[in-house]
Amino acid sequence: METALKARFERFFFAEAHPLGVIAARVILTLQALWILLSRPGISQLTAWPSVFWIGTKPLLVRFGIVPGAALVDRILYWLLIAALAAALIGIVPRLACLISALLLYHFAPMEGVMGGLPYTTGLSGLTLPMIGLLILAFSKPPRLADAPSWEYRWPLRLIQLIFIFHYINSGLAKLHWSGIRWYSVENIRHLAVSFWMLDRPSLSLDVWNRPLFATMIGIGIFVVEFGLIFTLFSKWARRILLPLAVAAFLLRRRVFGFYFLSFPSLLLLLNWDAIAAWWDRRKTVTALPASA
Amino acid sequence: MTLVVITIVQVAGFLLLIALCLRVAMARSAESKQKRVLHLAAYIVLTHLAIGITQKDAWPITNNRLMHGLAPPSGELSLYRFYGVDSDGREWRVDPYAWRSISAWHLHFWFWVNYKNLTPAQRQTALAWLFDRAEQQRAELAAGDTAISPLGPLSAPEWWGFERDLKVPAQPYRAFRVYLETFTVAGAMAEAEQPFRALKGHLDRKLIAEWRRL
Repeated sequence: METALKARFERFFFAEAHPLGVIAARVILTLQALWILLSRPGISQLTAWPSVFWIGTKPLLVRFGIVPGAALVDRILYWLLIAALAAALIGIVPRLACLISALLLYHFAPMEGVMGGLPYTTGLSGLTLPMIGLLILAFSKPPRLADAPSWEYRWPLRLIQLIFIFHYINSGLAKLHWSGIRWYSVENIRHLAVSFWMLDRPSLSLDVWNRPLFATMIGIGIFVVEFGLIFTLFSKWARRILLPLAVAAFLLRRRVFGFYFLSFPSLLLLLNWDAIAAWWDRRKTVTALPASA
Repeated sequence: MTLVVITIVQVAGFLLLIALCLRVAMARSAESKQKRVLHLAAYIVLTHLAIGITQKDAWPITNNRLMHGLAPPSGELSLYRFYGVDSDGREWRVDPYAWRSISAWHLHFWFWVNYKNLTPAQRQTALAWLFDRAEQQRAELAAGDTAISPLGPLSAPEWWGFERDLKVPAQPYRAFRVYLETFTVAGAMAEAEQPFRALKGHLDRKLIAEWRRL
């Protein structure tokens, strides 16, 4: 029993994998980071804001290497970060590019949260997974598409997938910690929907308020995605059911509660990249057959 | 002192993550590398679980706390909202993307935590800066430039999709006001029953600050 469990555990982290998975992870994480950073060029100028906006943040400034007034340095670092992400994306000195990207994301991603006095909100920025994922990739074997499958291409993707899934699990644990299981009740979902309708008029909020069945489905769906997504790493059936559910949750979140889940491109990390690589190889073989025949 | 210790622990946690990654890269044999990967995996899983359960801040290990509270009918939700005032005295809600470097939600929290503790001079500095930002964006919107970044329509939105306010006066703002607007869940429920007759009676709106252009 113990041996079987150990073997399963080792297979989970170290079974041979096609390099496509790690390449895909690098591309998805860098594109997500580039998308968000290029949409927020002002982040490089946040340290130009008057010092009054940084009052009371000293320990956080030290923690993230933020220096109010150092706007010129931040502007240079911002473009260095963009260049490093672009290099990581296309695979130029990928380990160094990933390391520089990760360290600079550690500096830039929490900036607005630090100013607002809430560094933990950086988790909502869409930059957390790129930061920590690129750090892992910086210390793993750089993949080449032509490489043979290897256990070296399994563990980095597994770790990144686990961290992404913890975004969901911890969101669920936060609800249990602060509100208990009642958070998922029909009553609370309806009240939340109507409250956010009051603020920003999301298009489906009133439908949730008026239709308890819709609210029930949302409550159950959120619970299942938050605590069930981890099974996508072990079961193809879980992947087939829960990935579309997670996409639906992403679409509904904006329309019911008014929030965007900026890490939604990272859902692609949960695809079965070995199966995609095998499908691609088969397709190449079939295409090549008539020519060789 | 406590804050310093917490900060040291938080930084140490991040440095330990880097050290564990580095240890994996420096392994000399496959067996040793796999063992070290398992140490790294254990660290990642245990720290995420610990942060999820305790809800402490240890970013980049994230608790991903969002919309975690209950919304009982007696509940209230307060937000700082920002308005430009034109020469006729009419108020225009400032578009949430006006601040460029910081989201409207984080600016709300900055006001919530800090504004009351500032000296009058510091308040003037902060309000004048925000006025300039609002006025800069007003001019852009008035010229028809509604993009939130150089990526145009492909730009990433803020995570809280506050409704945009693209209508602006043609003339520059003359003043800038900050209100604390409080909504009650019961009020929202009452209004939802009659969505075409905006009651708004439940909205408490309190002027927190005003800055006038000289």
